[in-house]
Amino acid sequence: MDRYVCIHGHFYQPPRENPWIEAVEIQDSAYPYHDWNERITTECYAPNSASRILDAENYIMSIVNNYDKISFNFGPTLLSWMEANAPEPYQAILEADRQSVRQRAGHGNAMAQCYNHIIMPLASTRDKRTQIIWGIRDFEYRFKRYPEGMWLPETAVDIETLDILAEFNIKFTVLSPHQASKVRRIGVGKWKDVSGGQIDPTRAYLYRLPSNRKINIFFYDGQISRSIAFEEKLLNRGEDFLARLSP
Amino acid sequence: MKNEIISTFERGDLADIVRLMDNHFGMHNYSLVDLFKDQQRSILNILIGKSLREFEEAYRHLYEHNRVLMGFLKETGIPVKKAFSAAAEFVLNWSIEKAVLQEPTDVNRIQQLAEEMKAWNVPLDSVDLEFTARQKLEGFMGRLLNEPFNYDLLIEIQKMIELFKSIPLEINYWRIQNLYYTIARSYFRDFHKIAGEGKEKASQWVDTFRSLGGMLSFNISSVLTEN
Repeated sequence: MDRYVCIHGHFYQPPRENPWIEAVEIQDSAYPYHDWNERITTECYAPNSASRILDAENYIMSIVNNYDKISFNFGPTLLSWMEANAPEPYQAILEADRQSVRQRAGHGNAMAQCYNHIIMPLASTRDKRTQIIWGIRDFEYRFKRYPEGMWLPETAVDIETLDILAEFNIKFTVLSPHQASKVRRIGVGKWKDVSGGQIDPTRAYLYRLPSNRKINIFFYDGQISRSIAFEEKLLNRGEDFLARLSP
Repeated sequence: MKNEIISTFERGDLADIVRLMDNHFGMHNYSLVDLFKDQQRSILNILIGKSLREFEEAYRHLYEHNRVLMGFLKETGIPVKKAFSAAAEFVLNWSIEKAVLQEPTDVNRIQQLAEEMKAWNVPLDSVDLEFTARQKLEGFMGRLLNEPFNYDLLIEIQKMIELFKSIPLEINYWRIQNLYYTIARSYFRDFHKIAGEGKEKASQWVDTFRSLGGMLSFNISSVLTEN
């Protein structure tokens, strides 16, 4: 049986530009880089665009673009900074999406994101719509296609947000397993309680909205995501990561 | 306003000009503190440049003047005073960074400075120097991508990497490796073919490029495919 691993990378930096001069000012804490955008780009976003495949002695056998192999989303405010200030990784990200569209029957790896990093359930209806419309427009401007998925900041969600996503023909989003309460097979009446993060994250779910619209939801694997974020050495070697993923 | 100020200026009445400027532009005085950070920084760098040069001269004088004496102390096993190693640290770090920036790279000089630092047991300001060295190398590799046939440039890059590997400096070769990989993918096959036709220059290029790949931690047989 073929088995698949689905990885999503969420990449975001707040707008650090001084609004008077529309440029990021020097940040001494990012030394020797000019500012934190520059530093994080060098240490994280760019390395993913040219990742090393090593042999047993740690010599480089080839260099690959990770973004054409994972699902990902970049915050629009970060991409607009990268477009002007980090053109190499920026172009690699756009190219990865084009590449993935060719490889996966027209479905690109890039997901859109609400324009700012706003907690959607706390926003008014009009602000929710603005965030979603701006996120879609920004995505279209950069990736030259309509987005299929949209990332919600902190995966914060309410029914109205999902409904507006569906209204704009967004097909899916990604949520935390703790946001699911109960599930059932389509067409079967009995609900199964999955609260407390018990939902099976290895498949997709369909949510029927009160408005009769529909949206698909993927739940991330809470434990594995936490390990990646907080266990320092997990991503140092692909073999270690694979071992951690294998049940 | 313009005419008024110009005519006053032409009369040479300075007090009146100041009064007119106050009238037209208001009484608030702006200073360095009001500038945006980057501009503020670049002006301050000009201002402190002179003082820093004075520091450099003073330290250099102290260091060079006392080096023989301190060398003697060291040889006889008497602890070298902190004031001396402070001057040495400042002067040598300053000199090594300058030497790295210099073109063409004076390999012997940089090596000699690194050895002097080791001898006096003063630390290399590696964050600064790494950044400077890396940016210089990246610039050279970028140039090589645009003119891959430039054998002298290839040799210069090889020399620099050899040098940086011989001093206690951990350079982040990430971008340099990317550029190497791109050049390998785009040009190595052609060069190898020309070298196979007995062209000496091309075969020198192939050998040097191979050795550079080894220095940059590439698995040469996977990366430099001949077909």
